[in-house]
Amino acid sequence: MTGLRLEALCAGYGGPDIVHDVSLELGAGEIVALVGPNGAGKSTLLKAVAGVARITGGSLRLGGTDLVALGPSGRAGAGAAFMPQDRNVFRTLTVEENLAVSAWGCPDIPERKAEVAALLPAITEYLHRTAGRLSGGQRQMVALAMTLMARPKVLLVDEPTAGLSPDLVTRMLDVLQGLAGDAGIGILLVEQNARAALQRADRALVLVDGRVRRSGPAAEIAVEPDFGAIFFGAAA
Amino acid sequence: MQLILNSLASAAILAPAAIGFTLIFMLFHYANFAAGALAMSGAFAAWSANIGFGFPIWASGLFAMATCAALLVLTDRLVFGPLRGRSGGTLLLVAIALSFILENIVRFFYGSQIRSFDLPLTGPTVLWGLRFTPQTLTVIGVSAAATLGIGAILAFTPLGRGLRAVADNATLAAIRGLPVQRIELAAVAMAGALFGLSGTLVGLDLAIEPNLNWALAIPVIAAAVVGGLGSPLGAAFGAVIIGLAEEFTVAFISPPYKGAVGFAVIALVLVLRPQGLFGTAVERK
Repeated sequence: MTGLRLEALCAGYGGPDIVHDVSLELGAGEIVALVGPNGAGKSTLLKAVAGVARITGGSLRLGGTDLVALGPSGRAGAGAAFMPQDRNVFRTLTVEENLAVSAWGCPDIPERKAEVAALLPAITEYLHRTAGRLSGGQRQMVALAMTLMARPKVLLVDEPTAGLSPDLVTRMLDVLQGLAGDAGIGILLVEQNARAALQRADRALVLVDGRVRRSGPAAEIAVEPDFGAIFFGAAA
Repeated sequence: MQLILNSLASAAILAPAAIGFTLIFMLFHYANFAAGALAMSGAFAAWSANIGFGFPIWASGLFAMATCAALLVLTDRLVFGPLRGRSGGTLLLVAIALSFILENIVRFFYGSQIRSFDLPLTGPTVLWGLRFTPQTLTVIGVSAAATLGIGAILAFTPLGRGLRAVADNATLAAIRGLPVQRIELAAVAMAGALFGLSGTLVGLDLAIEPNLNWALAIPVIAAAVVGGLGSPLGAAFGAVIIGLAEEFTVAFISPPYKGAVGFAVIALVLVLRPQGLFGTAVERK
């Protein structure tokens, strides 16, 4: 397994654990959707992988690298790029500067910008604008572009469509699907629109109260009879 | 015109320290009231290099910048680092205490007498009715070069972009792979060097004494507040405004009131435009 591997991962923010014993594997070019009701621990799990929330147990590896001992910066360097739900761009920097700082220390920033522009051509229209002045959809695209500047092996994407109009939701999810298919990036996706996420994911994990309630092919989970009930916390 | 030239000389002394003050504020969101004490320490470091070691004045200035960079890094590691995340009020009190400590260390080793650099005695030059000394021109020129240099570093270099990114959102910067602690260290050293430069410039234009601590602290902070805390360009512009206000006070009111100008300007800005001239209004949450 050269991708991301979590085994019995427990995590939280210093108090009681929020995520309990979660295991999953994410391969190259694969999309795994994390679905579940509000407060299930989906975002906390992503943050734990990114180094923002505290891992209290279990193991976390990306390829041959043990990520647990690394901070957020080290995990980004190892190839795990996290796109937070909000505050995900440097608002006072231009889009171009946002891209440049996201490839910190890399000598080939122009080449990386060109690669990212080829994957997300829309951002070239506002490269010189200050990120804080962009619309919600533009900002999410810039945030995604920033994660790609590091040429990540896996993307950890938290609610990328939050606050976007329906057509932008479709566009963003299409872009993510394209990144997995064309660039071979593994994507761990938390998405409020669970049905849309499951349509595009290869596999899914259903989290309830921080524990994996169900895992398997996304298409199977999407048609389960109690799928709707899970989101109201009523499934047993 | 003479008043304008004098104002520019005052502004030139304040500008580097005001930019250093605002760099610290950008990154850590507290007012380092020890700005005056650090600049005063820089003046004594430059004096030691010039008189004690026989360095030429330019090398003494570099020595002062290096000394203040090390001093600010040290105080940041020992004093402010362990208090990160505490309220701005707590850190302000700690900074005031630090300024007393630094001033008294200087008094212990150097005493309270007034000192000056070993410079050739030259009379003022009069040109187009303006009276100035070579030191005045040096102070203005060096300060302008330093201000432009810092502006260029912040705008055009990877370190500058990284520094602005960390100041904007340190958590996101870490997530994006930026070495946040190293960038903060570089910024603190840069701010310290700017305090050292202001100390050297004040020694060139005025005299060197421990009381410089309080003479510089309020105008430096006022310049940063006027410009808009967090805006290095604004801090330099704020220094010009404070310089003008001080010199006009001396000329048209009375020299003893010069010390009150900084307080008055801070009060005025906080009432009329709390975000300063170049700052951005922030909504209280």
